Amino acid sequence: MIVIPLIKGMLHTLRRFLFGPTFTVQYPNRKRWFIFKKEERKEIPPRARWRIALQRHEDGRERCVACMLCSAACPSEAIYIEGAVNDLSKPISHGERFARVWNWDMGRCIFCGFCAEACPEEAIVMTDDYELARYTRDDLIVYKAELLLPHGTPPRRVWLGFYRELPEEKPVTKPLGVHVRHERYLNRENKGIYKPFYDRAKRAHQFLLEEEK
Amino acid sequence: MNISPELWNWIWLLVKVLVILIVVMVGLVMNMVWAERKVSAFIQQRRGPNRVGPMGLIQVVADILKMAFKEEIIPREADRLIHFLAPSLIFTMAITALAVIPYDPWFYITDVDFALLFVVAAAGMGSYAVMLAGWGSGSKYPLFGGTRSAAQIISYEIPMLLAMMSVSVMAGSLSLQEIVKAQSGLWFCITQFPAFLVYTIAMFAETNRLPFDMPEAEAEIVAGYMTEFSSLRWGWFYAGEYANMVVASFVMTSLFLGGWQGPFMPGWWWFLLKAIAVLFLFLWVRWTFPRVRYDQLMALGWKILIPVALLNLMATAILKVLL
Repeated sequence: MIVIPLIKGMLHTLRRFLFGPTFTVQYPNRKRWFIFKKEERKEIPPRARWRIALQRHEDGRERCVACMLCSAACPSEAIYIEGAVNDLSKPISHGERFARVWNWDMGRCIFCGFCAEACPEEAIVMTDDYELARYTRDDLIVYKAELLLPHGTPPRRVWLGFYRELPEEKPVTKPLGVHVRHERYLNRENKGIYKPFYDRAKRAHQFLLEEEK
Repeated sequence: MNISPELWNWIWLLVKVLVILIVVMVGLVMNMVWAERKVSAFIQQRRGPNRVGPMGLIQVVADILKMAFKEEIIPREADRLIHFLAPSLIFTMAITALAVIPYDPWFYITDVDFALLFVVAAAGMGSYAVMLAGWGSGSKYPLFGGTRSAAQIISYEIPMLLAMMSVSVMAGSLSLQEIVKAQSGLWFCITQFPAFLVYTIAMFAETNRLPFDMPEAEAEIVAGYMTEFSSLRWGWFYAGEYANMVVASFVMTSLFLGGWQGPFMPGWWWFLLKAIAVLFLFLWVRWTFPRVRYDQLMALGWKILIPVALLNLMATAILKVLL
């Protein structure tokens, strides 16, 4: 009989009508990530790569020293920097130079995170600010004043292009040499799935240190 | 003030017409547009319109405003008179049939003894609107839609009429008020179950609703007969479709579901309740079933519905004579 499957179908839709859960997320009112995962995540994943930001030191100086490595690493040429020499009596950054102009063209950016990875001073971090829509193309070019994190923002570490919140007991206060930074990476407590890489890198690091001695 | 009883009659008639028009237009047609979107959303586990007004109820008003401000485009090849006539015809013919529907033992506009024929005639004129729209647009997809509609309505009006006839044989009258009164014991949807099924299926075809919406099959012929209409004229087609559904549900209620018969509540409450249940059936079916193929549509109409309705009519007549 053809009627039975028809009735079955009707009952199916009726069940959905009466008891079905609603999957729509009312976006501007409620922001939810990965609703199809069983555990409902309320926060953005910690390694999300969205709007970039420029970090500061604890004393308010900028970390960026206008070395241009980020703009060289950028595959889509989204970063434009003009450097200038610091006034030593009132330095803007900790280095010799600082970025007079630091423009990020959001329209070109592909959010790959290479800039954050390339930055030797950990000035660039990728943040979780994903609401990037603008009304005009001109607004898509973001200037330094907007990119700089406000004074007092907790510092973030960059590793493989992602940012991490630092543990509170180890705030970044002064510019770090490559060795020191490496050591800090390698002595991290939470290594996660990258533990084998850490261990190997740590062994290599110690080997190098012993060689130097 | 000395008002003659005849004038009172006229005023009372006017009041009834206004009440029915407002209830049907604002209460049912507009809310059906809202309900269709809401029901489809719930069936598909979405939320539906919920920004304009409480639960999106005023969304329809916003839609009408938007439509009113849209540009009206008339194709160069169109027959201007017919193109103008079709949208107005579909809606007027739909609400014409409201004149003979018995809403309550005392609340109806007229009760003529050929009411059933009047309803069918109005529905038939309404189908002209679809054909004229297809013809008058001077474009091929509307023409396809119009011809499909003509064939479909011819093939489905026959079983619908046969089903109605067996009901009127049961009641012994063509007046809808008499038919409703005849259902004081058992409703005709039980005693005339085959006719009830046939009418239900034919009703979907008559109103161009989804399992049989060949005239406007958007996947095949763009929007069928509505393709070349824009702005408020398209809106009239849209409203006409829902008005047709409302009328079909009213007729269904009074023919098979006992009209205003029912305990505890005033008659028109029962009438509206049953009509809304039928309207929900329209939406429910639309969002459950896919569109049938054209040959399936014709085969269902001619090979199943007409024989079933004919046999049912014969059986009804024989039983009526014998018992």
